[in-house]
Amino acid sequence: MIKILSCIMILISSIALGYLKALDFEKRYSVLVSLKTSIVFIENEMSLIRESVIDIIKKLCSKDLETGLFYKEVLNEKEKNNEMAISDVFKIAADNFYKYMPITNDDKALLYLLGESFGKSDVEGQIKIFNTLKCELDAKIEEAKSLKNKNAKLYKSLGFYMGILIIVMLF
Amino acid sequence: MTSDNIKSDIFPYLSPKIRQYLLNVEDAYLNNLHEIRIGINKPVMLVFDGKVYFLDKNYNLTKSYKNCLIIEQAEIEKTLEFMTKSSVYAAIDDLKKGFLTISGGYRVGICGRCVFDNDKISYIKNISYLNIRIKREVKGCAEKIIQKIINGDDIKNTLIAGRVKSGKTTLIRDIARILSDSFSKKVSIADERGEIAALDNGSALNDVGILTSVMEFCPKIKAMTMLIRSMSPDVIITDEIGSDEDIIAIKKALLSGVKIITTIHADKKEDLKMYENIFDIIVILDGDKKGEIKEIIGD
Repeated sequence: MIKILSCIMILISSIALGYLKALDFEKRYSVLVSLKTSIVFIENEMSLIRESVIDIIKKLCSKDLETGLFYKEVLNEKEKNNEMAISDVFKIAADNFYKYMPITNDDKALLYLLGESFGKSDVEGQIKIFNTLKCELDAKIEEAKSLKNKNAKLYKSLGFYMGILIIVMLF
Repeated sequence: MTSDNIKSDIFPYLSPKIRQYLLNVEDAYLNNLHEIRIGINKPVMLVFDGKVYFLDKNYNLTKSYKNCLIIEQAEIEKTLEFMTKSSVYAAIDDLKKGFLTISGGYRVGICGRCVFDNDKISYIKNISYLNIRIKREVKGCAEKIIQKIINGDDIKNTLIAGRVKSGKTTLIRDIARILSDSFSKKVSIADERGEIAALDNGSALNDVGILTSVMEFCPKIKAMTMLIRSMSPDVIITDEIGSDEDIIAIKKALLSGVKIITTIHADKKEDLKMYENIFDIIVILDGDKKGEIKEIIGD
């Protein structure tokens, strides 16, 4: 009875580990897609309503987006230190976001870039910058998608087979 | 405007360094402050009643610009970031005209390098000089003039002329308040620069009266048309006319039966000849004594 229970435990744990690892790839993909969605939102708010940067970020926080956490971080940092430039606030928020989200260093650099370009020029200038950002994001989303398709499946199967292997080796 | 108002309304928009400099200025001086002028590689300049003083390294006000606190480029950039709330795109229309209006209705004049696109200024870059004008809300300052503007139940179309800093905006702000609250007139303000009422989330920071509706940051010609259609005002109050479009807008408004009270930068009778057939009265302010009437044409 104990043996059967142990086998089930090992199998569940290894499958869970595989799923967790696979989740990182899925999460990165959804974060990047959400980042692109938020840029389109920012672009619209800037060009149509001319909302200030902080008001746009507040609106983004209330949206059900994967990047909502990032924008909340930006808002928190700005509230903590109102004197800080928005680009510096974005840097700190991106560093914090990087700690708990499975994004790469390159993805983080894109967040830096977004912060550096935020509110620095007229609407046309902003749109040009956002178009460049969206192009770069499209490439990253493609890359994340193919990694997700390839590795997520792999890690999920790997978790299961590792569990079986451990059970076979132990008993 | 008290030193407390200045500290709470204007200081948050200044870079920490400049703010720190000005926090050392005695409240008694701040109470009479008219302008704060800051420029790259220039001393901090404070204007009281038309006289310029510099802030020296011991935070004393002096007439000499030697041994004074000098402003660096980074301080101007930081101040601009605060003033535009990190959103240049949102303030671009004002920037093109050479000024910004910060929360509370304070106007900040800017100087820099103009970028042209098809003969129109598309941007002002390398901003090097800021002039923060301290607005005054003097309740009751229009009590004298209101008797000239109101004739029984009728409001006269009025043009208030005066040179810069003669108190034109302060005066029309109080006229709006009195016409609304004392004469129960439906007043609409076409506040192109957001200086008259200074709306903050829809609520006027300056007292312009209970019956007063405000259309802010909209070109006069458009704002006046919209106000006539939507608010059915008895009188439209607007600030600083000058262009041909403004005159057309005023003539159109007058045709619809709405009365107009507005201001213009001018203090010579000869310069105002062309307006005599548009307005019932033209009030010329005394440039030397703020808000004082020098002459009334058509009274």
